[in-house]
Amino acid sequence: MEGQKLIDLSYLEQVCGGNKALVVKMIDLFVQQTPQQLKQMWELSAAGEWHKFFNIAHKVKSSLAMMGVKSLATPMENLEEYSKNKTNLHTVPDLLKHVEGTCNHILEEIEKDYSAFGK
Amino acid sequence: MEQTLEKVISGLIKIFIVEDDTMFGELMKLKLEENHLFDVSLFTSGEEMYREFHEQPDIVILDYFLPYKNGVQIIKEINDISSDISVILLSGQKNVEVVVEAYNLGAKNYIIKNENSLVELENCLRNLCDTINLKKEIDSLKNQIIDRNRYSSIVGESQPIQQVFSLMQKIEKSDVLTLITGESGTGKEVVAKTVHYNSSRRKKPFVAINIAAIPDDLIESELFGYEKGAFTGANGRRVGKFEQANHGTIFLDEIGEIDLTVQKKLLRVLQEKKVSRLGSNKEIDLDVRVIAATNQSLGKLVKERKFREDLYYRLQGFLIHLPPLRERGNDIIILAKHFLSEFCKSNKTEKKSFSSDTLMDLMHYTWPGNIRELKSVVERACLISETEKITQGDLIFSEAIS
Repeated sequence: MEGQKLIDLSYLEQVCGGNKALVVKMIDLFVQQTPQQLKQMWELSAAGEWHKFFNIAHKVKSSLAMMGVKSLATPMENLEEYSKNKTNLHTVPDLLKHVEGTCNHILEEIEKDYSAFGK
Repeated sequence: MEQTLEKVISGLIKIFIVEDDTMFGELMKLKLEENHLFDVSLFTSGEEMYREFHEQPDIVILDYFLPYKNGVQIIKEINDISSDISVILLSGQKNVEVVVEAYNLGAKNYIIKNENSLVELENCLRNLCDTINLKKEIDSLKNQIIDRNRYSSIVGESQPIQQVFSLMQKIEKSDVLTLITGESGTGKEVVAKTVHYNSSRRKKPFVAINIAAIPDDLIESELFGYEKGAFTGANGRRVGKFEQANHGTIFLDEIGEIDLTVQKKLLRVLQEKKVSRLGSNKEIDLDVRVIAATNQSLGKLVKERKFREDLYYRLQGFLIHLPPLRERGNDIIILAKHFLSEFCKSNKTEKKSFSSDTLMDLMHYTWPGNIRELKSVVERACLISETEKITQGDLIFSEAIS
């Protein structure tokens, strides 16, 4: 991961039409909600509550897309599809582990590159 | 269109967003609020939105995947509540069946979530706003236009009577206590009846009572009723006018004539909305619209201590002053022709008309007895006239009689 940027804010900046405060607000929301949503996904997969799992996966996919995280597009689509159709469920823990690991790197990247963004 | 938009936009377009993806929902909300055209509220489920539905949104933007109920189910429910609300579905759900169902249920647009969805949403909202604002403007103009057909019992086109229509229209939908003032014969009861028959109480009774026509010692029992044995001669129970008018309208004509002792009880009935018959302690709940009328100056009666000040102020809920006929210009001719036509029709006589000189005389007369007097003069002239044309010689004014 070293040297490779995970997030690309060009889409977010484009839709926010140059409104820097709005971009910061979105990054803040991502930082606040994503770890919590991943935690919920672990709990729901353990409980076998796949419908609820799907709903959260759908949201996380949308948030990651907004942050321009292209590398997680396919794993998130898979998580969404598997939980919706209840297929390949045995692969969910690995996929989730991968998503979580990448998200931790994203949060570090945000901390490093964007902590002064809104100031 | 821009000017129209500016004019109506003083009331912002109210948008409800139902999106459980906080990030996307928040982005949409903040982005739309940048326009300063929208008042945006964000909800995470349909249930949460319905709790605020009394705020009457103009537009609802729905995600498809939502807790409890999906977006398509919510579109159906919204349509059942009001067809005036424009619904947009904004979702990652690309299933053609869902898209078709959403459109079939009346969704104005279905926007697939992608990198262009917010731009597409803004364009869609711009188009919808034009339609909504146009509709709002038409509704507003409709409210300003007096539906003349509803006032067919009141004849006239003059500015003073138009103002009366406008006031009547304002009170039709409310139950505000109304006082109609005006000289004798200006049509106070006709106005009261028209207000009643144009209100939601139209199918309930309209009970009119002329206070001046009832002896002072009987007015209390007439208004409030009595129980058997309440006083000498009360051989049975009698329901009062207020009770008769329950759920409808009571018209208290010549309120200035009401006895001072009864005024106190009347005030209590107006305030408490309860009545008890004479000889009974049982209170009966009232749901009555009260319209009072007078041709006297109640203020003057208050000064002369003939009318209670508290009742006077209570009656000032909404004031409609009827103009005297002499101030209604051409309405005199319109009314005269109307009465003549009605009289000929009801008496099955040939149609008659007024000569120009006769009409001039009618216009120049001061009409102290107002419309009532005009009606009598016209009917008398019709009977006197031996030809198709009513001439000056056929007119006999009340002043001449007296």
